[in-house]
Amino acid sequence: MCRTMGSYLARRAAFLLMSFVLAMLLIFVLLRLLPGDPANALLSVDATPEQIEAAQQQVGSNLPVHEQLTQWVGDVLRLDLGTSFISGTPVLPDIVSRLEVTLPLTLISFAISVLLASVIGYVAAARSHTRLGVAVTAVAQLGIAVPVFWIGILLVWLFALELRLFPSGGFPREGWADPLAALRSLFLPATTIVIVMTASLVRYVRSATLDVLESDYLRNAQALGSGFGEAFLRHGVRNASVPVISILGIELASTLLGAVVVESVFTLPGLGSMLTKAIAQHDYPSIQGILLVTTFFVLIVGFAADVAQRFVDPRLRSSLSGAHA
Amino acid sequence: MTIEVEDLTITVAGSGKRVVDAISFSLDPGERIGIIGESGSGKSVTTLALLGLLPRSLTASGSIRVDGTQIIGASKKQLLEIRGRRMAKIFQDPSTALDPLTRVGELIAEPLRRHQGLRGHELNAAVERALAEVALPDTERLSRAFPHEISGGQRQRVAIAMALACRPAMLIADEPTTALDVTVQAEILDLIRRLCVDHGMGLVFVSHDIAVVSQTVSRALVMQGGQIVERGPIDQIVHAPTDLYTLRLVGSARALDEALTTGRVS
Amino acid sequence: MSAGIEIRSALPEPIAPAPARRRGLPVSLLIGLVLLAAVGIIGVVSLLWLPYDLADTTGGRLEPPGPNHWLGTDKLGRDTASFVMVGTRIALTVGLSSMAIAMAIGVIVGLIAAFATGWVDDVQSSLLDVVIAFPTLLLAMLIGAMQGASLTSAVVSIGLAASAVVARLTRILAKGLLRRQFVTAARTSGTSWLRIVFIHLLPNMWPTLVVTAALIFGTAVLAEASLSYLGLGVPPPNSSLGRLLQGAQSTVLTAPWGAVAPGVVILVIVLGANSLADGLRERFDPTRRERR
Repeated sequence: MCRTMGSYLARRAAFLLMSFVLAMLLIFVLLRLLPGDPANALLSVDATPEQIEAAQQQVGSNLPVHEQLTQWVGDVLRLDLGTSFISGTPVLPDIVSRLEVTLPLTLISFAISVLLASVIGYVAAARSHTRLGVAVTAVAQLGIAVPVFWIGILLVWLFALELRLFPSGGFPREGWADPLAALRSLFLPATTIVIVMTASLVRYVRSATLDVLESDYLRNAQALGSGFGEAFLRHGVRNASVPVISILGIELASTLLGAVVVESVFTLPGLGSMLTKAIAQHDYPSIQGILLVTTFFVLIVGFAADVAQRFVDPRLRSSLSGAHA
Repeated sequence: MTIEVEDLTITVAGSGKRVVDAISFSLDPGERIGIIGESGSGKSVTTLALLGLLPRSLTASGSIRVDGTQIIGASKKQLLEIRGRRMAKIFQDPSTALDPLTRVGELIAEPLRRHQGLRGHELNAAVERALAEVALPDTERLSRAFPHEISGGQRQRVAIAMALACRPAMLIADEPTTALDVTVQAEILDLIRRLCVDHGMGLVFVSHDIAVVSQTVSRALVMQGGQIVERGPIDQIVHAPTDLYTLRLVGSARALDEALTTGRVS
Repeated sequence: MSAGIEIRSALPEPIAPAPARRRGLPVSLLIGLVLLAAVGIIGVVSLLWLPYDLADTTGGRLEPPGPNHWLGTDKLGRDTASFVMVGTRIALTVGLSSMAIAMAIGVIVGLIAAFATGWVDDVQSSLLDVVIAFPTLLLAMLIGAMQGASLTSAVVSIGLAASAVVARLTRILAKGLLRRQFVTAARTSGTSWLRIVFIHLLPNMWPTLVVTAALIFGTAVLAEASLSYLGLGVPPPNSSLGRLLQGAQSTVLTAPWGAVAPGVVILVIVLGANSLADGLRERFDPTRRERR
């Protein structure tokens, strides 16, 4: 058992590395395929040829593509994501400081969503034939059809402007120096994400729980004298968690994406607002850096979800892509 | 243990459709009876009702007495007193009836712990004995295996071991061989028969296959559309059926058997 | 035992007569059709008639809904209802076009990937994984922004981003079918792969693909709204529901009604698409009914 798990980990890690390489290639190619010279970002409309050449030199876009690639890969390996065209500051430290907002927002929202969805999804499944169960399912349907920023706008209107309970946006200048103030300003953004993510997760939890509630092994345990509660805790929870864990990776990724949009609603100084600004200003190094960091994040989360799933489910341990085996 | 079923009716909650319609039968201690019928005849639901385990969408009325205890409307505590301890069940498909995430040893240990209060070394020894009793080889390795790592026949043996762990007075077997290979079926049937004799255990054996039932029980009921259409000693049902439906079941069993022995379809 | 007929075999369990097939359409299919028809009509009407011209600023600023302006006016005195109507049409257009692009590219790439074996297969499958790890919206943002925000770039970028999901699904479906006996038989007997695709693969895959298309449509509408909200989607002078919401956010305290209608329309479109997908799934596979 341990040996198969070990060899699985090794293969899955190799796959992760390969994915990193592919992600880097993809980001690089994408940005080069797009029309326009990155150097244009530095130039005014009436730039002289000398200015253009100087700008290209600075950006490196005058080099052959393969040299640009090797240079970029080399830089990334040295944890150097370049310098912003606009602010002239290194990209990586900027990203890291932005993550102080985005990461807590993402993780807090995600954790709360998973907890809420587990409870609500269970209730929806256990009471699937009652009005409550039907209502929960219907609300979840609404929740996944709503644009996340619209929820944000409505929450701002209600809780920040009408009731004045929370700030309508922004983040303390001192960051986490005053944790309470920081959490207060993350409250509405997090609530926004939690509403949408919970709705999305509830459907999976409900369906997985329904499968378990109808399962023979749960009935078998009860036929042998186990109470329902004991049987569900002992056999149900783990079995229901297998399919849910398999989508948690994707859901965490979309939580991050939700955070990117929600940051705009609440003018939070996070990765999302950095990206929006960088795109508007054609700040290639920043865009490249943010894409790289977020893609790596999503790939690592996918890795973790796959491994977690195999720890829970012995049936998957023998295969690499066992999710659909 | 005795079971007395009177006017048992099982209805679907919404539509009021009767899947089991006013059936009555009884079992004496140690007696082995068969319930024969096609899928949809209500036989499986009846066995669930015996344990008070009907899905919420079905409701039972009438009377089921197990050693005098009324099952219909019984309290949770009364049901837990009976389930596993006095009456245990083997399900049709061992690949769905065993929790895929729990090791075989732990599956068997669970009822042992609950009903016999065993812990530690005693428990481990009892698990090994239980595995050996259902003629499973290499018990030490097997108890560490997960259900998907063993064969279908072995899985059903594990399910039987789980059911027997509580030393029930009555075993309910719902199509215990249907999901298995033909060669394995005979072995499992032998095992069930032997265990019933060894432990003086009563048996309710449910099957669509009259041939399988005939080898295992002394008396049988034939169910069709939720009603009992014929009952009596198994010899009589096989050799002198009075009901047309039973006749058809026996006939098709014979035809298949003939075709297999002669190689011709009559 | 002693009882008579020696039957060594087992009978296959007789199959009970199939329950009568449910007649009529699943409820969710009807809901989906009604919702989409409603927004569809708004979209078509917007082509023929609008309460006010989009450039008409004669309405007075931030007027509440009333007989002259059903949904009120914005801070420039323009009629919100007219903008919502055009925005609905744009959302539907972007949704349908992106869906078409995503399905066309996704199915073709997925089929090609399904026929690959060995390391080519490994590389392709991990490439698809990486593309999917790429947050769809970020990709769309990127392509849109670099090409200059326009209706076309929004459609192309959302369509491309969604095609990866379709490709992965197609690949999994087709791989499963290729392993099935009847397809293996066709392959060993030398049937050309094009014939296999059209005779064995697509006919077995299309229900799933149609359901997926409905879901992609909803996702695309949401993506367009998000992009436009961030100022990276459909640019002025075209209306867009996302941009309407962005504009309404700044005046939400004095004129909260402006933030209602565009959001509701997005909700109706996406809910309609999702219900349609659910309903189609039920229709194609009635046994799943029990699960819902």
